[in-house]
Amino acid sequence: MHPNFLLVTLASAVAIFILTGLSALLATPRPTPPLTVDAARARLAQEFPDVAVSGVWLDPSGHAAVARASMRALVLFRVGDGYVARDLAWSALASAERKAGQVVAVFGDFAAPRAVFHPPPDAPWPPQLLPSPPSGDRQGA
Amino acid sequence: MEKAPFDVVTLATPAFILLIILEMVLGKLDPKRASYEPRDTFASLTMGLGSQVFGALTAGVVAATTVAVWRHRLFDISMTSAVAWIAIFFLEDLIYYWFHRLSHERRFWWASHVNHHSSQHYNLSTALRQTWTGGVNGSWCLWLLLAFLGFPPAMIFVEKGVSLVYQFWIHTEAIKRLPAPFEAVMNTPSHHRVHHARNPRYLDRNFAGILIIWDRLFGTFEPERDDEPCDYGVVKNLGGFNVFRIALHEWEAMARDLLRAKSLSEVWNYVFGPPGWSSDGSRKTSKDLKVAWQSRLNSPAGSAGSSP
Repeated sequence: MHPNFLLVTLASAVAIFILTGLSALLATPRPTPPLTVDAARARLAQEFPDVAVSGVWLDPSGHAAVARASMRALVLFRVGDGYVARDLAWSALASAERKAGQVVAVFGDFAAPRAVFHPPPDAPWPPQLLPSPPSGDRQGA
Repeated sequence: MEKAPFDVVTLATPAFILLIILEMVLGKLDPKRASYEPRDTFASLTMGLGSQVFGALTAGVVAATTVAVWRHRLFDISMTSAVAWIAIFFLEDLIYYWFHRLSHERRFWWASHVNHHSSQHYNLSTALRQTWTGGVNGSWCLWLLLAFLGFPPAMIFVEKGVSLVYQFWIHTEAIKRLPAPFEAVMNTPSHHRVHHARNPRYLDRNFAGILIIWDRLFGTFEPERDDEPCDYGVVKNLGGFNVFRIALHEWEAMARDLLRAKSLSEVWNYVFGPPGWSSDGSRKTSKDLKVAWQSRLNSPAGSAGSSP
């Protein structure tokens, strides 16, 4: 290996840590307030524009939401200061086990393997969904 | 054969770092101008470093092939000719346009390029979120045309560096619009924001490297609209910041599809079809997404928001 290449690579690695540290220090991520039902519906409508959502459940953390569309579960979950959406069979979500207060939805997708929910200990799983408003107001219908 | 007089990218690297710091500070002062998420920043910069390392592994093959082709060149072109530099500026940029378009419209090359679009942020660190697998997908062969014409390999190397450096500064939200004559001819932050957006209107648009004229010429230009802000990322955003997932996820998905393929036609389409193609139609290509979006716009509900 050429010594210059090794030097440049090492210097680049140092620069990466400095720049990442600086971005953490300056704290300039986008504001990402906890999801509300309306915000979750709006995001789901954007991610699944042709799908009619029958109800929504919000994770108490405000960082995830689940909606039902016929036999599919639509999942929205926070990654960094953004959100990611995936869907899976409702039955797969419903059968996900609760362990240490967490429920993990597995998508079988290398790019987004899982989403983690934190339902209240006494709450049922699958979660009870808040019904959608009348069809005239429904998002994404 | 002449050696490249300098490596444009190496020379520009200190400026890259300083400009990223400047943009971060600007984002602190005015959050509308720039945003950085530390894990996203780390992933982007590490992808850039990985690209250099993996690129070095195939650089010898690329250089040797380029020299071999140049030995069978059509014309003798001198590196000291001003006309030659002007010619390579336009020709290299034209090749870049088609390379970039191919990288979006065919899955085999999209699998390498998708990582550049995988951030939900659009800042100068995103510019460095480069591929790890570009050396093995053969897209560099497009530049062999320049060697065959007679442009010395060193000249091609310099011009490719110029293009890469130019494209760094356009990855920013800090600059809104530049003077109209500049926006008409050059690729700008505004044009390239559109390229990084996943709004159906903006998908697969503005492939330009330096000159936006190619998009205008080949019908792929889309201006940025104030009433439709860019939503950055890919159609199905990634669920984390693991650089190996960022670099390899589309290759993994392609391999998984190939294992399920039932015919040669399916094999072909899963590899060389448009990204999003599936045998059962369960996934959507950019074209499908645009048609569905247009259909929603034309429906009485018009749920897609802004007008076409």
